Amino acid sequence: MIKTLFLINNNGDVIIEKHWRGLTPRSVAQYFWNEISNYENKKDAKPIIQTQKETLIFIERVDMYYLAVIPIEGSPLMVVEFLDRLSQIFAKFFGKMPTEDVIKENFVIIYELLDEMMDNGFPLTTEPSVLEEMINISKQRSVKSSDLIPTGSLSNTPWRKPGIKHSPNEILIDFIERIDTIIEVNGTPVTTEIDAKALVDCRLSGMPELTMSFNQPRLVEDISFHPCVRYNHWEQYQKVNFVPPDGEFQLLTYSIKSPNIQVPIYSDPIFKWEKNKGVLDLKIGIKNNQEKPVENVSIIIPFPKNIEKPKLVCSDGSVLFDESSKKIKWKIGKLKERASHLSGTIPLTPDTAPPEERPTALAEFRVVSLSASGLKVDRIDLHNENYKVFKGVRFITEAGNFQIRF
Amino acid sequence: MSKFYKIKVIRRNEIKDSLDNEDINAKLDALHLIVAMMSRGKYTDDFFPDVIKNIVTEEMEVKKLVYLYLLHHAEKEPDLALLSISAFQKDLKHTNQLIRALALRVMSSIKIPMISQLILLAIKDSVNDSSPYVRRSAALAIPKVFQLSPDLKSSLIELIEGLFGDDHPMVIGGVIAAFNEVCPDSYPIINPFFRKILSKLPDIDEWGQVSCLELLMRYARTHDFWNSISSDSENPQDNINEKTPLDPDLILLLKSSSLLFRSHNPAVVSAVASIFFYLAPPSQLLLLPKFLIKFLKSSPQTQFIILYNIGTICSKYPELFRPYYQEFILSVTDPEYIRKLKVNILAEITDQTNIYNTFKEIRNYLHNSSIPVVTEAIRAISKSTLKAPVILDSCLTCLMKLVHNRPDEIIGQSVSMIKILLQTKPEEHIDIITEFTKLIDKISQPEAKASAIWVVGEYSDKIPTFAPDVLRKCAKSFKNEPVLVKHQILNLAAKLFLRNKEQTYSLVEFILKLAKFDDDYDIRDRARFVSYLLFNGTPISNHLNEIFLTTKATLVLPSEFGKLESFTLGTLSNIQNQPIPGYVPLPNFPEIPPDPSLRKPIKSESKKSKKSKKSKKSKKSKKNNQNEKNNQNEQNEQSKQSKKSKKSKKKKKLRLTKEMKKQYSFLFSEDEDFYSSTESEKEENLLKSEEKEESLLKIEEIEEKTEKDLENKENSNISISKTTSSYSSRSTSSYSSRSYSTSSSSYSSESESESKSKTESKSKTKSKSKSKSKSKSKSKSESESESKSESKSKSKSESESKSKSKSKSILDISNSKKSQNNLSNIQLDEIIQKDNQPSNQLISNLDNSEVDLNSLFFNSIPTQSKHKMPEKIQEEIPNFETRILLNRVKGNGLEINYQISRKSSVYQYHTTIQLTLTNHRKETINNITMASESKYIIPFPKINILNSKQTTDTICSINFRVKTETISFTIETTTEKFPVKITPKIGEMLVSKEINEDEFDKEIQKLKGMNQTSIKISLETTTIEEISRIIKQNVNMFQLISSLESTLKFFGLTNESNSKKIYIQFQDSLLKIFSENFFIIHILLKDLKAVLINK
Repeated sequence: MIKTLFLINNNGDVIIEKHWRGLTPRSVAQYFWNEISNYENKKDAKPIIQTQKETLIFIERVDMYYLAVIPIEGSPLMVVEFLDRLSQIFAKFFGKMPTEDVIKENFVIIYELLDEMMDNGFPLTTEPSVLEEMINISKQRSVKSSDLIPTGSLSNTPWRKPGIKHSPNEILIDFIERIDTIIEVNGTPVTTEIDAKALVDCRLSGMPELTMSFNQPRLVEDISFHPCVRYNHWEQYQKVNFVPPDGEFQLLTYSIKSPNIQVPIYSDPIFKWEKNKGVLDLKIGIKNNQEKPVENVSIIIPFPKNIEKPKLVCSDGSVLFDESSKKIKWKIGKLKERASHLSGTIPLTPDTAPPEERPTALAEFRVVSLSASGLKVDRIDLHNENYKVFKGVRFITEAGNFQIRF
Repeated sequence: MSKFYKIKVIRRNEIKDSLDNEDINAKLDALHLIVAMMSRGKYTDDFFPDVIKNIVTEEMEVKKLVYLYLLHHAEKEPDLALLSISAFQKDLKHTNQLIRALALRVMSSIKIPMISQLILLAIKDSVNDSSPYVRRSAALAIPKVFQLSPDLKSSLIELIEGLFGDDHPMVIGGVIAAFNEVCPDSYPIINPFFRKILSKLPDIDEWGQVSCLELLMRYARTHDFWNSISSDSENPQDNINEKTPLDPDLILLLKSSSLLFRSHNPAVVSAVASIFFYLAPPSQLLLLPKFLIKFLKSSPQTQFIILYNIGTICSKYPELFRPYYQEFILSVTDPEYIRKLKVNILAEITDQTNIYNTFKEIRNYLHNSSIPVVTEAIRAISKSTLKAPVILDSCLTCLMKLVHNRPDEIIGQSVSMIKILLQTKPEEHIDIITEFTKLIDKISQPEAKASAIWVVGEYSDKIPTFAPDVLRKCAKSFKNEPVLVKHQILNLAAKLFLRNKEQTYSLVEFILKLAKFDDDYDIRDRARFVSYLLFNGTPISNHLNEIFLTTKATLVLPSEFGKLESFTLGTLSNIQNQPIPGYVPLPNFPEIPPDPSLRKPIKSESKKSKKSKKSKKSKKSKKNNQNEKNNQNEQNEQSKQSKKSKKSKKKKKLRLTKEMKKQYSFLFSEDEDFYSSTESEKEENLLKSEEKEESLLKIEEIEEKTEKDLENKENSNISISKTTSSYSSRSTSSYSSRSYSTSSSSYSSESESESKSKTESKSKTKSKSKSKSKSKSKSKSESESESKSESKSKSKSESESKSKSKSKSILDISNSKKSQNNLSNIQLDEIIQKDNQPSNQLISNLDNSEVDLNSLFFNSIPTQSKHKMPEKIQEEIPNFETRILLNRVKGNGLEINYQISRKSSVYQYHTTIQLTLTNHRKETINNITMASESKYIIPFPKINILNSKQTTDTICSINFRVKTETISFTIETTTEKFPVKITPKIGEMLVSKEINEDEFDKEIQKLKGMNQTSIKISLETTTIEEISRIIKQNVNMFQLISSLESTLKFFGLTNESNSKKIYIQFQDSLLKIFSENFFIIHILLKDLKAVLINK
């Protein structure tokens, strides 16, 4: 249960404050700021801070701090999740990441949103499509109050209002499978896992009911769903049955851990700390059995504080060095048939010992229409409505937390 | 709008003027400016009267902003705020539900105790509002009034109780939040609604689900569901094993809440996890890990809390997360606090089985850039080593590397941990102890130094030459050491004195003297104590060795999360490890559980009658309820699309009679005391009759459906599911307990399957011995001519069956023993086996064997003899459906039909498929083969020639692996290729097996609840024989001869290596399927449902 919400910018200034259960002085926000300023890196601050009277729970999103003041015992996950949803809904409403400027620009709408989203410290409505109906974002001030009844929210499907019309009717589903892996120096993965979500862009008329079936439903044992999906149906038939909200939403998430995950790239890392420098050699290439183009490839290698500007050569793309964060960023772009190669030396700051920790590279890439897990959608059926519908399903494999150990 | 936020110079008079302005835009601009000032923490109190004036506006935007301002300032200006009340009261009667709800919400948020009575009145009106949106606002306003004036509690509780009767899930979510805050332990209110809340659980909004689950957990803890089987009442949960019967309400609770594991909201999943952690039998916790672990992919803040949840669970059940250790491997992107938690959990779940993997990982973290992470890693690696001492040497080597040139914290932690590790096997690590004597000078951290000195003292007998020297150095620096170290120096002195008096006497004397004049009184006391013991020969002095030199027990490092267990999982207190205001410990199980009959739902009719006595309000509410019901029905109908008018008429009729019945009961209960037992009995009867009607309705619906099915087979699954769902929703409205049995989800329990596999292996060994004697008979039959063998082997099998009483599943073993060269042999074997069934089944099985023998012939010679089979047989035995594999047209004249055979296959876990090939062409077909890459398909032998107009039978074997996936392969001839596929039914992937009835009953008792699913089949439209026939035809299972009349029992195993037992029971027009594998029972039920209703 949230007593007060503060939105705080990167300098510790309160931008928005909203009180649900009595006023909280701004000094609490100041206290919070002092606490997290003790950390060298603010990201290392624990998300729960105990003061004498209250508990503070915060999240940080795009340099904005969402601080909730919690007066009494309750589920902390509920608070964190609510704050997270808040930032997501802001992003959805304003069409861009909720930075300080965006928030200042839309502060009135934010207050209206907060009023609808929380009552007496309890989350009320967090369904974006319902909020969009209730809050007039279009700045047209002539809207009459009677137009604002949240019709959909009263039905059995509060996320969808009746009478939606689209032409043509189409539903596009992007399955984004992100590979999380840690690959040892010798090329064997310590762990490989897929963390996937299905993003739906739904433009269907009326009250469509959809059933989606997979080729191997057993692969996705831990699947979880948007509230519009009937859980019971899944448990019984291993099919996803739902009445979709209108527009974009995240239908489901799943993760897969299996030795059969197709990792589209391979790496050959060599690294050695010598007396006053590190010697780096890294090859990245497409795996033999991989036919789809691997795009947007880039490699980031963070280094400890005591290194100087490195001397590096690469066969493809470009190498950048960020002096402040001590990160090497190698942008490759689209992988060619032969492996791309990066090599060179990283000088140490004079009179410092080589670090103990070996560097780890983080890879990024994107492969369109590859399902790394092997999961496929068998079919999508439309019930309840009688129109023709265009159904598009696309699998995209991306690098998630893709680590290459040196 | 940003301009408002950025305006620095504010002309207050201009704003006030604009607020008075008629122009809406000017008003809005002014209000925006004021709100912007509020946000920036500027003084805006002086606008109060001017803003409040605008509350009467009809303009929604203006209204919202005025409300916003009002709430922010009402506390400071209570008198002025009161002026707005009349405006709210007007809005409460507005025609727009949104405005009614908003007015109630804002009015109840004004924190002025004076108006609490007014708010209470407003709530009382709103709980009967026609809009659930307003009713929810009313529910959420209740705790606000409670905060303002706690003395109104009793009337608030009354309101809550009334709202629990509301059927809209939106309202239920709100009222539970109110309940949790106003009267969290008034459980008697919940009793009658317990089952209803469970049935509505999936429909409540996600935040309401969290409150709901939290309430349900507390409720279940206080209403002991375990029938107090446990001897010690401390924690009955641990005492439950698989055999303990669970209370049906607990099963219901676990089932309903387990559905929510699929929620994408971590708060919901964590709440379900808590319910399982505190209420479920340990065997059912296996579900838990994967759903929690999934959220380790989300934001670090969510991970942080989830990791605490996992840690707390681990401290009790470390084995749960053991298979998932890879999830806790550190990532470079993890913030420090996540890394620390992950390392701790890794240590928690390490044991002998995974030590090498985790050790390798944790060893890497010893070189992490963050010092706190390294110290945690040191602790973790030591803790793992204590649990799995195989890595002791490597662990000590790793830690010894850390005691040089490192930050103090790391050296300190390493030394402390080495000290603990040394205690396990000190004699093997004298080199390390020696190393320690050298270290003492270099260590500055007090704890580490104290530990090092303790090690030297403890094992001084193993390093006799070094120890006195250490004492000498210590004596020199004694004066400047911290208290902790001084204590250990005194200990060292005493120990050395006892072991090596000659060399150390004067040194000890010197140190004790120094200590006696120390600043610290503890040290002075300790010094006096030691010197008295050592130098003044008291009677105790004889026991000095026992005092100072006893061998110490090995320490066990406590779990980092162990202490957290004292706070309820998932709470803030649990993470902060301190009680947060408002924390209520998890209630203990009661010693005497309350009567479960309390949970019998109060019928809606009776509730209404109760209300009607009180006031006329009830009429209104009843109307509302009815309206709602109608609405729901309408929606149902809408969703079912355009139905035939015939059907809707029928439905209406039924509904009308139902309504009438209700009215009837309503009148009835008005005259008599409703609480009397006879009355409630009557009500029950009424309820039953209602149920019957409903079941009738359901059957009708199903009939309609089947019609539809025929028309449109593709949609059949969905439409059936719809009927059931619509049925269940209706039945829940009358709260019939029966409807719950249809909802289902189940779990496999590891321990059971283990025990099962044991018994299986036993039976196998038994059968081995028997198979030997059998092989003789086989060789005989082999030598005989084929024509004779038919009759002979038949008689043989009869005699065999008499002589051999019970043999079980010989086939698998005999198969593996013998080469597959003689197919007929093994099939004979099967026949024998099949005949070993109780006598009254013998005849049908004999017939069966004849068929088998027939087919045995067909394998070698293509004949048309199949048609000669007596027709009687086809009636007796279940007539398997012959399906088309390759139709005549597609096969260009080659037709292939197939039957899935019940005979066990030659190959283990395979199902035999009988194929009938017919050549309709004019020319012969040569070299017919079956091609497949799958290793699960054993093709039929090549058919060299198939003459024109000829038919041949052959068999192939497929291992379906108990999956309903379609199997594809190709049939090839010399010139052509035909792709074909077989879609198997789960009923054919079972192996029938004998079982006696007692065992059957015992087993299904165990599986009851979580591992069962059921369907209602009315006997009015069918007979028990018919059902028996259909089941036999569709499912390959053994039918028991039940002692009870009109009860059917079937038993079988899945045809796979770790076969699962499956039980089917039909009793009281309820078909129940039991198995540990929920996947199978659901598919089986689905299949059976289709055929039983379709027939």
